[in-house]
Amino acid sequence: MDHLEVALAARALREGRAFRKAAFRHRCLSENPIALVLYQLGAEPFSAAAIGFGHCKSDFNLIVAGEPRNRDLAFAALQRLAQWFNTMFENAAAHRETVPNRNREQTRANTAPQVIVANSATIEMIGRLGRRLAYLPLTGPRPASAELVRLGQHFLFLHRHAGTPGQQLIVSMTDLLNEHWVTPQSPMERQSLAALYAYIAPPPGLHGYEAAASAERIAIGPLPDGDDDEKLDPLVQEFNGRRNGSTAPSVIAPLLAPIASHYRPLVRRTWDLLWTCRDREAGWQQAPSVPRRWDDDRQAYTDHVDWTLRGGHRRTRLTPRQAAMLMRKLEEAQAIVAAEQASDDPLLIVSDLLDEKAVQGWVLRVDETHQEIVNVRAARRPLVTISSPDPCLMPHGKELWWTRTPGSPPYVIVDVRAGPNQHVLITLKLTTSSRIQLPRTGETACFSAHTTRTHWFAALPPSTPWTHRPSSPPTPAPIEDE
Amino acid sequence: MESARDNHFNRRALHAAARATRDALQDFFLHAGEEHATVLKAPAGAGKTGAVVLTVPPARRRKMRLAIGTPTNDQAFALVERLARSHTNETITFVPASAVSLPQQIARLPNVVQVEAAQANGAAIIVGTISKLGDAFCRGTLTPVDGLVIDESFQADSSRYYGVADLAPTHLLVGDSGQLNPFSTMPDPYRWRGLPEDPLQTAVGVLLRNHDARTQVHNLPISRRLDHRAVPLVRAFYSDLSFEAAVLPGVRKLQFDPATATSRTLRLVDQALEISSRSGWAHVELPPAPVLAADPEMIDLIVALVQRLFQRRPHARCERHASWNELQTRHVAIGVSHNDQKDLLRFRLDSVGFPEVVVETANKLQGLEFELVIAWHPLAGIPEPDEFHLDPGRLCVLLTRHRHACIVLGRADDRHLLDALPPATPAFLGWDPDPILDGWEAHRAAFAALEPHRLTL
Repeated sequence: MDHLEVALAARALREGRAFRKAAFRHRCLSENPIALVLYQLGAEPFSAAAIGFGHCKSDFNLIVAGEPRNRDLAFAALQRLAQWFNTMFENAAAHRETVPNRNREQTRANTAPQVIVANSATIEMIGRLGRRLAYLPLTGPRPASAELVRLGQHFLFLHRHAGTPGQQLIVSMTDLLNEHWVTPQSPMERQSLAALYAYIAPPPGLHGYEAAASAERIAIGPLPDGDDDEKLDPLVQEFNGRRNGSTAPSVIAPLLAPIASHYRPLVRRTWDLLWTCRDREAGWQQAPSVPRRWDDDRQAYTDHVDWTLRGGHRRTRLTPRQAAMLMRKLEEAQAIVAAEQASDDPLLIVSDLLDEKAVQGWVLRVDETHQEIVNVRAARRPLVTISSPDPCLMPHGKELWWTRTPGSPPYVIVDVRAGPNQHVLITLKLTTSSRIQLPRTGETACFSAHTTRTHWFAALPPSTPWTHRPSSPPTPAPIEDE
Repeated sequence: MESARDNHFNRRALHAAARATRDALQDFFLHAGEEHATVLKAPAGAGKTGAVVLTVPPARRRKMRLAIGTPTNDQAFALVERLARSHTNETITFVPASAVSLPQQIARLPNVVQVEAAQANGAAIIVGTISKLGDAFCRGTLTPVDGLVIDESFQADSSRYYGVADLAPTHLLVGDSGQLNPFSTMPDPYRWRGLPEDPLQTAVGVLLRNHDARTQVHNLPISRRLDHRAVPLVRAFYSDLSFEAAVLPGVRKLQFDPATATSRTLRLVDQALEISSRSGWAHVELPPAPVLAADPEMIDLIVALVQRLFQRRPHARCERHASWNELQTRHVAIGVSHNDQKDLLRFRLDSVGFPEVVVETANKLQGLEFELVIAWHPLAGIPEPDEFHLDPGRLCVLLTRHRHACIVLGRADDRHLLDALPPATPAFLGWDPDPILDGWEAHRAAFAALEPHRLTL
């Protein structure tokens, strides 16, 4: 927790409701998303016992597997999801625009599907289902259907893409709320969408603490509540008894009704909460940098669909080189999204101002023609002096970026001195002579340590060096001791 | 130099260190031309850079070209200086990354040249960061050499080692296993933990994982920086390494002018200074309080400590200086865990006239040495110990930078954070260390060792 969050959490406890730490919404929320609610059976994490899906609040559909521990029944349920999901997910790739990419051109889908789920545990479950389905054989004694494998590939893609900072193809509502709201709850309490939402929008007259305390008993999925599963157990036993080993659809279909009735209110409860949160958050104004990240998302989506529909497969494990490249890519994405959000949002930057990672003040003077000797020649180095009501503890020479131009060359602090009315006068020097936009006298300007400029990446060799290759190929160890 | 003042040194430790260095170099040169690596592992302040410097003459005799890499630019600068001053008849060629250049006083040394990678291909001794050397090699501007030496190789991560590994077939990896491990700012940096492709394992880690059987690991069983008072505590960070202090008891002495304390804080500060000069350690505890990272009371205490220290004109003598020398402000460092602690302290110390006292985070202090260190304990005032603050490497760096004394500052309930059961920690197949539990153990051991030197405000 930074200083702003501590202050807001204390205030939230006093006033009994959550406070926003961001003035904008920093993720896009699609008009027509794919909503998914998943429930697993007990501690069986690799099968979906119940699936809620649809593309708007009133379009609620429920599939139950009956006995998800039976492969055929688990796959039959997922097969029904695949028929709907694959169409919804792949259709967006049909309409393209052409965009330049370095020296060549590439196509990018005009829009991309957005999947919304309740929490990151659901994203993890999507990843596990993807891992289970994406590599199934299409031939042989027990072939899987092509739709099922494609569903697995899409799920695997979504799970992997979910690790990209700032991505918006799959949105965990709990994480979205946590990124925009401060409550006095612990990190674990804030993982319950019901409890978190209760603090954000407590019923009239109720303190957020009380509202959250009663809401946190509500199971959201994919992990079921123990009591609910106790009630489910006899239904599954009866289902298994009646089907008598059969997995034929004609036998199964009429027997599923009691299990569906058990799950319907549970899944529906999460479904309604998911959409309520989504619709409430959609009311906040979207941050200016969101479309830039959506472009990246659309490109990732397009590349995935093209690769998958061409019959391409993804490795289950990365090579050392791929892992190294991915680590750098994610570090870079993380820095850029932090810089974009801080530059976009006057409220979000407050924590940086309090943490001495930014300064803000009124622009007193702009000396556009200031020159100094750089190497041997005189070069233009504009000076900007701001008057700030806050102390500035940053050292001389500290590099900062004007939040209006976070991708341009940095300014450096060259002077800090006391000004009138207990203000501090901070002079910053732009480190380039290029004619870029400068702050204007009289306006408020903020300079922060965040930049969207990317670092130099060292190249990596195409072949694996001897140090990173095992001296003898690994042999599988026995699963159990003899 | 050491032999001239034999009575200052533990000869057994010096001989053991010399033997380990000789064996490691022999192993490295014996396999010249083969795909082979030698590891030289050392505790803090063992003089491992000295071993790196010693690779130059035998390499030149064998007409082997060497590339010497470090993880950071600052380390590379220091290494260039060390090599140039030790081998005045050799040219040391530094290959800088773009927008980086050697500090003036190093660049001006007569046998140092600073060139683009493409111009370094005739050079015998090439120095650079491993990222730069690897990048130049991959782009084809730097052609392969005969031997690759990596200093601070426990701070070099597997992904950087990947880039530079084919620059030479034969490698010598030198490093300190107790310091901070490589880290990443990416979300979920442990996603590959335990897997062979993990880019965050150390260079030594990936090497031993793949070539354990044929890689010889040599241990340098000495600390030249830490003395006999510091070594017993510091052993807690090196469970697999035994070592002794190079300097004999009684050689290093630190003393202050007498003074009369006029306030409670000053009395405490004076006591802390005296305890630390006598025993090499002092542990000062403020009253318990849950605080934010940049605790204002702690900052006040540190500023008071620094002011009082220099008011009382500290003098030291040691194996390097037989006569009493006044301690300079630049030889005193304050080690912290967070940048906001650093920024606030820097501001306060500048405003009371101590701009030369070094204030840095543990990450930046790695590889540096000071006469006296004030360590802001990582657990000071935190409500719950987490992986970052428990990291044994962070505490190890803070407690191993000093030659004479280390004053540890914390809050009185810090120790009690570790009275409870340690938290449940995630396990990773194929990966044995557990930074939280290892840190828990190391912190408990350090607190126990500081017990006799403790003062409570």
